[in-house]
Amino acid sequence: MATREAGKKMIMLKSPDGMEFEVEEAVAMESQTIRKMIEDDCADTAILIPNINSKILSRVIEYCNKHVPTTGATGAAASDTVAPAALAEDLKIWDAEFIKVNRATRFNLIQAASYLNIKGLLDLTSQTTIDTISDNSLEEIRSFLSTKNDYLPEEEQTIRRENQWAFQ
Amino acid sequence: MAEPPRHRTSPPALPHELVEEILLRLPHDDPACLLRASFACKAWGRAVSQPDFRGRFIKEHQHRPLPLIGFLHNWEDERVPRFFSTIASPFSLPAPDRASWLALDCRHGRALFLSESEGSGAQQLLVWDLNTGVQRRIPVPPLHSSYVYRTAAVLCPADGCDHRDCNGGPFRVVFVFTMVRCVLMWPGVTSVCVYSSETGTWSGELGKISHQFHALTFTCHSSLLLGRSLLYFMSDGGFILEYDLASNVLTGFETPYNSNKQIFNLMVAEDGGIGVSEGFSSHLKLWSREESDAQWVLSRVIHLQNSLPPAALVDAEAELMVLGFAEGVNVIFVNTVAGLFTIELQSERVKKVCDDHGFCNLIPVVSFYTPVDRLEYQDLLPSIPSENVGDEEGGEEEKTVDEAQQLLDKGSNTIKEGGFVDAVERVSHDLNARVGGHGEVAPGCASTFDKYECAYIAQEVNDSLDDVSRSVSNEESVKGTSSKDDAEDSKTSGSNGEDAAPSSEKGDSQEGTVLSLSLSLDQQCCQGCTTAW
Repeated sequence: MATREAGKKMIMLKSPDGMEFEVEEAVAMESQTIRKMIEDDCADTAILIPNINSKILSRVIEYCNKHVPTTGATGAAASDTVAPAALAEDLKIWDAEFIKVNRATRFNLIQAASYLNIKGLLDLTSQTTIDTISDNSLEEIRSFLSTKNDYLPEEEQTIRRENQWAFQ
Repeated sequence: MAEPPRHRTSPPALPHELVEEILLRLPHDDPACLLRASFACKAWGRAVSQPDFRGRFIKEHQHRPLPLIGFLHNWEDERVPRFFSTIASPFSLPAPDRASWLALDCRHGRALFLSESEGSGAQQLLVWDLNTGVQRRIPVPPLHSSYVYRTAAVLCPADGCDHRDCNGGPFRVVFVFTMVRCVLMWPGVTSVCVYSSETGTWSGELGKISHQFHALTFTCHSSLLLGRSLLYFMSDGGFILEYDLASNVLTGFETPYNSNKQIFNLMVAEDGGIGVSEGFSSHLKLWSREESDAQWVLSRVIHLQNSLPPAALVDAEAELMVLGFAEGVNVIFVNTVAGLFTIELQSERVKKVCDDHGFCNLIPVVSFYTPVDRLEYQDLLPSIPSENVGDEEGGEEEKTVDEAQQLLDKGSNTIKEGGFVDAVERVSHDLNARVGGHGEVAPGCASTFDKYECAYIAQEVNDSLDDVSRSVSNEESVKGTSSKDDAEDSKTSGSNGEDAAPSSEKGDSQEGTVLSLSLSLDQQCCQGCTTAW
């Protein structure tokens, strides 16, 4: 249910396990999916976020709270006194701490970021996986991403023969 | 970074669409990452090889410049793969083999090759799609059998195209060639033909200029495209040709000053116009050509004492050689005694590419690469593994030289016997074979040039006698007046250019522009190439 509190428009987000989160509209609109719902006037009542449990949703809201632009009335004090470069650096450090989670949580966050269409969060949560793919052997990639190698031995042999350089 | 994989509970595999989201974010300038990921499992392999994925990948990286992923070359150093990757990860592309194909150009997702001269059969051009590996062969223009010096460029002609994903679309090949009539005679004539992939046909001669070089040779430089339609070619002697695809006008001008050494290299100047770089022992000069008065202006000097390692500058006598310019990314390749380096012109950042190096030009490859489903293209892909370095290639090289020697011997014998037309053809072919393999002034070419000249002068005398007798005996054979007709005649009659040569001279005086240039034999200038062999 949308409410007003000290001039801020609030939005209610509901997780499938029954938890409700009241967040500022600006924070919720970090998600392009929710932004579209709000713009299409579909957000009068609480918005149900399917497939994202309360634990993950609370982390997503935490991320959006931190990353919502601080221009305008809200948060003006903070951005007036701190240089943009320092703010960006601060965000980077915060992000690095935020993403120190186990793989299962990270995968859930990737899923949530994708569904809610939050580009920054998707970039952040994907980065470790991208680094893994970039820097590791095929076996390590498969193991890290729980991907089952379904190539037949002879197919795998052909791939290795034709692309020797990729397996060095 | 890699977490120990086996001692923890594996999370469930990511849903397919999320795998795609992650793969889309892999670095665009390191295509090996994407390719390696595609080998993880069949689903990933399928995901990344969909055309839809390629489109999304390119869109994801739309704000980044096209990446420089490597270069092609014609060096004989077998330690350097035909396609040499300049990216961080190991990466390879199955480029057409160097024994059969001379790399000429690369642009807009395609590379262009010319078949090495063979004993019989017309030369072919090959357009190689960098991403799919599909090869398309095109016969060289059916104009004249006696042109010797040629180069070509490939490009996408589509208006409004950003050239990030147009490799499957239409293309043009611009073929530039010089007719060699006689080493001692000038003006020489250089012309342009354009191939259209949509119609599958060559144009007639679209642009034509005469020049006081007897011939322009093209072994040390690949082309440069400015904007949508201005193509530049540089001859080994430093004469620059400008061909405007929009107006079909071919013009020419010289480098900032005359030099007997091949020291200039085409590049895009900082103002977006045509420029050249010039190498010195520890610095580079960048020149730009003013559009208003067509004068060269020294626009920048890049000092490299602090950015190149001392080993690269240890020989104060040795000049840095610029071997190539990567369009779109403003990177030049510089050859030093300590190996090959890239220099980003904007930042002046220097990066070592490899220890080994050749001395002739290289052809930068600036393109997106995403894996493809080879099954989809298997009918179009070459069946033989393309690069076989090692003994086989050495064997091929020996074969070419042997073949050239045999032709030269035959030519010599024919001259002795008075068969001048045959001699010209054979020795001319021999020149092709030697030039293709060695550069114009390699020692092996010198005696061939002498013989060619001798045979040609003899043929000129013979021709004049022949013309008289033919005009009396068979007037019908002299039918065409345009140079194109004559050229076609010469091809079908199998008389190897003897008919076409005089008519081409006629064409020059009518259409061509004779440029006042200092007289010097163009091919004597390719010092850089000569030292390579």
